[in-house]
Amino acid sequence: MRAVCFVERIEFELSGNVFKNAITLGDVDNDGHSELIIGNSDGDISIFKGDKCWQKLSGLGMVSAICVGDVMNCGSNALIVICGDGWCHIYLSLQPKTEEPEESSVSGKLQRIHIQRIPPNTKMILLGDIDNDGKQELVMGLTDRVVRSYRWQRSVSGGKLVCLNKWECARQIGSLTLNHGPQGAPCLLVSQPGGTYMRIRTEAKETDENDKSIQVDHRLFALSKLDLTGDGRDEIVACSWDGQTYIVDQSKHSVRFQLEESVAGFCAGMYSISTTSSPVPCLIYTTFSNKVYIYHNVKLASLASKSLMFKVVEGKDAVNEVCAEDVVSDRKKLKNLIEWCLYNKHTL
Amino acid sequence: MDNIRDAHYFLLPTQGNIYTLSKITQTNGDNKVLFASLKRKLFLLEYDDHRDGCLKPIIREILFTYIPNGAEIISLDVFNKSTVCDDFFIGITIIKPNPEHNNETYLNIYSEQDLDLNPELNIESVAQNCLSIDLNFVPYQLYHSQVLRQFDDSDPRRETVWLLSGSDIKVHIFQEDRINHSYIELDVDEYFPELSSLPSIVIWMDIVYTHDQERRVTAIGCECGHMQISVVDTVKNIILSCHAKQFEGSVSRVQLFNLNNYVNSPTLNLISDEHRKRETKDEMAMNLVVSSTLQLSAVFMDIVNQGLNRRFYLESSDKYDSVLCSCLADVDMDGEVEVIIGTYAQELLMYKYENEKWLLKSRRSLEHPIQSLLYLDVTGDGMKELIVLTLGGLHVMQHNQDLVYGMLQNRLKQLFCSEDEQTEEKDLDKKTEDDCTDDENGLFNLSESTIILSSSPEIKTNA
Repeated sequence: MRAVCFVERIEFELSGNVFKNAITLGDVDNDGHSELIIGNSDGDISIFKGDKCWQKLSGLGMVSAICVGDVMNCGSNALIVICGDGWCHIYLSLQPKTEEPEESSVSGKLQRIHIQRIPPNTKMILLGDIDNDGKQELVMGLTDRVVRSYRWQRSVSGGKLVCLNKWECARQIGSLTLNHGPQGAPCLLVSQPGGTYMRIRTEAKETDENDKSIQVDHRLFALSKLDLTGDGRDEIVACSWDGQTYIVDQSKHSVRFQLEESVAGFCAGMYSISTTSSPVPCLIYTTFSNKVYIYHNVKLASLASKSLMFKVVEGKDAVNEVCAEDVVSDRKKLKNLIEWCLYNKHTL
Repeated sequence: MDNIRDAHYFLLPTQGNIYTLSKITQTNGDNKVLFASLKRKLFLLEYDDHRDGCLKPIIREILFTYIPNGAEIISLDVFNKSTVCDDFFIGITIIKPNPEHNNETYLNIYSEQDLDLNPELNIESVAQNCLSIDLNFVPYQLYHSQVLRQFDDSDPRRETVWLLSGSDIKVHIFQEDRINHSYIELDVDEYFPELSSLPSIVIWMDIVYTHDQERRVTAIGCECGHMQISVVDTVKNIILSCHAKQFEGSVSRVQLFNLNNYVNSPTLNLISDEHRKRETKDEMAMNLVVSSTLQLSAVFMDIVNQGLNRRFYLESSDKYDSVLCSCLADVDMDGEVEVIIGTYAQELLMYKYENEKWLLKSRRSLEHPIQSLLYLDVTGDGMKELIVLTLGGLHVMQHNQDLVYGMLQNRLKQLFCSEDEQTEEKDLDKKTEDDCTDDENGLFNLSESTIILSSSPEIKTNA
């Protein structure tokens, strides 16, 4: 398999252990750019903007999962934090959405607006419209094979998360994703051990066999979608505990990248590495040595490296115009011609 | 940074050094790369050209016999003894640390693939055929060159010999003794008089013969910082000229080169004999790049005629720790080579000769100290790749194919279209240049290089 080496990275110090669902990219302050949010087992949440820590929240319980989204269906993104002590916190930036944020008098920093009891064994959350009603629901995966869904309900005093559904899986939950069927019908996929997954439609429930797999020799724990080649099609980025990262495209070409350190948490997405630059694809790792690495120059021309000669033979152009057919078909002659053209010191 | 990218990366199990990367050029023109890591492992990189145009890198470990447990690889070198078939000789120097006695050191020479069965390189077969030479010094660079030897029974003939620099401040010459199936050490004074008295250990030597084999230019860089070039008349075996310069700190690499690239023109009817005649190499227009571990590295131009007088220091080359390696690569594809140096502080620096000056054109950081560089076509598609051996692994870096493809098309038109169409082509060139300006800060920017036809004054003004 082809392998590459990414070099340019930003490093942050970050103490404590990071659970694999406690790292995410999202626009928490509604400024149109993604921030990096990482929670650790000591109950601290760090929010990074560009190459700096923008806000730090402390005094929470062990952070087991976080996500960013419009959980309250009010048009602004909020930060949802799930703690191992059975509390769910919701933070919101109270700064109104404006074109020029620096002119606003209200600080854009996040403030806690809600706290609620939830089952203490929640290990992952997902925010999305699972029942196609135009509103966001919060789906939680628990360590005891249970999946629950919640919706924000407004009330006079503010509002709260109300439990909608509870599903029980046959086996342990690996991860949760929301996909859309052919008619745009949402369906929730719950990955199960052994390469299978459970599909949940809002009412009905069924299990399906895995239909696409790629054999790798490392245990994977995190999957993300990201367009690294800039061709408009997403690649899948998967990371294993030992730092081996696989990038697979839709034609099943794959590229490997090895972070030479063990990985605690991983996510991939678009992130601005400075406040002035536009977001670029990034691979983000947290490690066991209290470091966060953001690899920000991870663009690849294509996942498969191509032969120039093949391109010359395929493209019916200049080479074919000037050369007889036998040159194009003779590999050795064509290679010689290309090399001579490109590298010789020509005189006319 | 956008124009040359990782095509492949291989993590080394243990580090190599400046002597452990070598190319293998087969008779059919295919290139492979052999590289070693300290702890007894050697790997071969080759490319598999798929029919769908995808290049598949293959790196496999080659098990060389007679490398004992606990031994460490110091240097390696490869040459082909034959010009018509693949008769490869692979030399590997090893050291076996022995705390009680002196360290044991060996030069292992692998050769004699069964060519009757298979005229193409079969490296596994070569790796099984070893002749071991016991050394009484610590080996450094392993190199090869030719000597003219007089045999009793016939006319003198050229033979390729091994040159091995040693901790005993000598360069040792080993030649195959076919009859006795062994190697004999030749007298350095007799065959390489320019290497007979040395101030300290030779870290690197580079020897270039003229095509008629009558002249030879030898450059050496020593541990003490002594750097020396000699022009030798190989017929009379006398040193015609010798120049030396003292650098601060060790000289890590010396490399002789011609500024102009000369590629054998393809056998096409399109290329007239007249055209061919004009593309002859000026063999004596020899230049030298010297990598220094402490001070600025330098390029000396036209050393055969002007000695070390035309010196150009490579700006900023001392800012990134020691320079460990250099490479001559025409990365902008204008027919003139650029100098790329690799440093311990993980930087690749690229210099170009412009307006009689060597200018730093671009640089790039890697993730480990850079130990060795090669620029060769390992994928076999006519475009060369930059091979970088670092402390952590081996990079294969490929040019941006779309840019090179566009350039190739333009150049074909320039070379083969008639005069009256020239103006049109010029416009085309201009256009591609404009297209490329987005990658302004790119390393090895190709956009500057679309104009190459130096003898035509009209076009030159464009550049």
